[in-house]
Amino acid sequence: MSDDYRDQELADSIELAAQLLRTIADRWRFRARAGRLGHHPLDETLRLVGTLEAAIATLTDGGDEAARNVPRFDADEERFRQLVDSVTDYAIFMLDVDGRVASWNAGAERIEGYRAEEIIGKHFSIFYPPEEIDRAKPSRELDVAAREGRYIDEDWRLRKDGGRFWAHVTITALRDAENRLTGYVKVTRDVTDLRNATEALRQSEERFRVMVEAVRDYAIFMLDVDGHIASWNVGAERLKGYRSDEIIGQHFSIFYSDEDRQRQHPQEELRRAKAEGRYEEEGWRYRKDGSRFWANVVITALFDDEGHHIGFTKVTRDFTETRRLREAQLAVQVRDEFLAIAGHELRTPLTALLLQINSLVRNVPTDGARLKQRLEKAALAGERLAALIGQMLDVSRITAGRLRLDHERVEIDELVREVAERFSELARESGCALVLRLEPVVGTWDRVRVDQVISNLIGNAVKYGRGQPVEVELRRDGSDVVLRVIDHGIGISADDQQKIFERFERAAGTREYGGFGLGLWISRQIVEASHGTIDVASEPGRGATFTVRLPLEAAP
Amino acid sequence: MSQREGTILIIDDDTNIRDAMRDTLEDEGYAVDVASNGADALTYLHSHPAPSLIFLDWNMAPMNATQFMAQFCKESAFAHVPVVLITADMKADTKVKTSRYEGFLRKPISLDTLFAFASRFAAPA
Repeated sequence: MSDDYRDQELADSIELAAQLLRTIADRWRFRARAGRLGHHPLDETLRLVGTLEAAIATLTDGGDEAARNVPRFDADEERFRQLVDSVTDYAIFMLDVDGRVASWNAGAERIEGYRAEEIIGKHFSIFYPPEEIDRAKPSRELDVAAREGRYIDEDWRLRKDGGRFWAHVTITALRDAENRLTGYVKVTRDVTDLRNATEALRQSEERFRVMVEAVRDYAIFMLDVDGHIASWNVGAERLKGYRSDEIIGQHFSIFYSDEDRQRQHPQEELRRAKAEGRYEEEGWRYRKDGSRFWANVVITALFDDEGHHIGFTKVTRDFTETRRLREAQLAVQVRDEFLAIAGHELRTPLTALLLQINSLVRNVPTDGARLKQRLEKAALAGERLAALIGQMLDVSRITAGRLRLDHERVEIDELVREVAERFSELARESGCALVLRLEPVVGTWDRVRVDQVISNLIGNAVKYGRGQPVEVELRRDGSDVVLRVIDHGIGISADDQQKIFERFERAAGTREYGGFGLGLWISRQIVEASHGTIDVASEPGRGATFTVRLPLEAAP
Repeated sequence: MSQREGTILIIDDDTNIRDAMRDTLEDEGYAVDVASNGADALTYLHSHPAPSLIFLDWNMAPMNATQFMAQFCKESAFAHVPVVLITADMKADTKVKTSRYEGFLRKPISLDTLFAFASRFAAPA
């Protein structure tokens, strides 16, 4: 072996070591980028890098010394051989000029599956899948390496057991001092995991892109740093009316009103999104056809890995309906507040009015029968007004969640009798005899509110009873009390049975029968607040039966 | 407590209610005076003989029933004067139980109840 030859070999070895370092660095960077660093890869990498750097330092020193002091070199070569042998993450082996395996390290055994004694002397095409051998790929690779000094490839390779792995392969041609080809060094890494990770990332990005493009309910698109539209999804097309080919490249201020554009509002949005990372607002935006919609807009600034601003994503939703709903809710709230105030305000003068009329009725001289009758009618009208105002206040109390129940011990059969007594005159007038079948039942309820429910049901039965008897039944059923109010009047159709417990609903015509249509709704609210149920069974023309079921004891 | 000589004092900030109650009670032969709020009533009480009965509205400004009663109960001169609360509250019984009220008149005011309280505590002039 001449010194020159040894120098060449040394140079090749240094080249090989440098190549190893580069591939390690590559691998590390790839893994980091794929977000798949695997198990202790940093340690592993640093250890390998450290070892190899030390090796390179040794070799470089050895190389310098080799020029001055040849005998030292054998030791360095031996150290390098040992180093290569011990590397397990890389298959590092030599091929002769014909491509037969000439050396084998631990990594090669681990990755390819062959022991040194069974592979040395075999042609390296044994590592290639049959279809690649058919295409003469192994010999082409050697040709390239011989011609260009090095051949680099990533492709499937075969293990001894027939399993495939994704290999990163470097083949470096070795030449002697006379530039004659002496063989090749082949370094193979198993990068299947890395490939899988990269592929998974690519697929995930692709799936995400397809998903964003397919979203119909949200306009999702990207803007460049200046606000020009860079991507466009189905939702954006659907919401704004532009096709992607006519909108991409345009400035996004096209969606804004002239006024917004004049005051530079779109630019202001981008400025704030960039400064704060995110900007959200609601406002009017315009479609291609000039119509407007109430938009909820979120603009997010995009930055690359190095922190450079690269653009924005913009997500726009049509909130027109949401806005309408919010306004409607506000209107309902205002109405309920008005009802509460109006109720209180109306009641006070009405109280004074009724007091005056009732007092006058008392003081009418004995010969003023007609005057007395008319004053009594005025008082009745006033009382009806008072009852309506009371309902209005109940509704605003219930809708505001201020229905408060004060439980006390109630002999409910007695309460029903009291209510029936109160209606006796009205019942007589309308010809509806009140028939009571009451079992004595005692329980814990809010007396005033239960009174209200019973009054409502008996009042309705008399009102819609067409002069037929009204039956009121009360019985205990286990831990409940069941009240049934049965009339034989006009009845309620199946459709109306669904609705009569709603607010402002009534089955009968407003002109024939007065009232707000709130009584049953209020009753249902009271019954449900008392953990009971209320329902109706009826046939039109054959009357109705209302059933209230209340637990005897108020639930805790 | 039994019937006593003297006027009935009505304390209510609503003119219509005040007048209707006064007219009604005067028609029955009672002597009636009115005050438009708690503060007004205290001034009246300090410059007139003790009334036979007070009807007191619950919700008034500037001095409501509770604030009025806090002052009123401090003065021993009024210890024997019965007070009846006027309120629209359905749950008036609870309010009445916690103070020294003799009872309550619920709005809309029933004549029978009004006269029952009047005749129980006051004598017509």
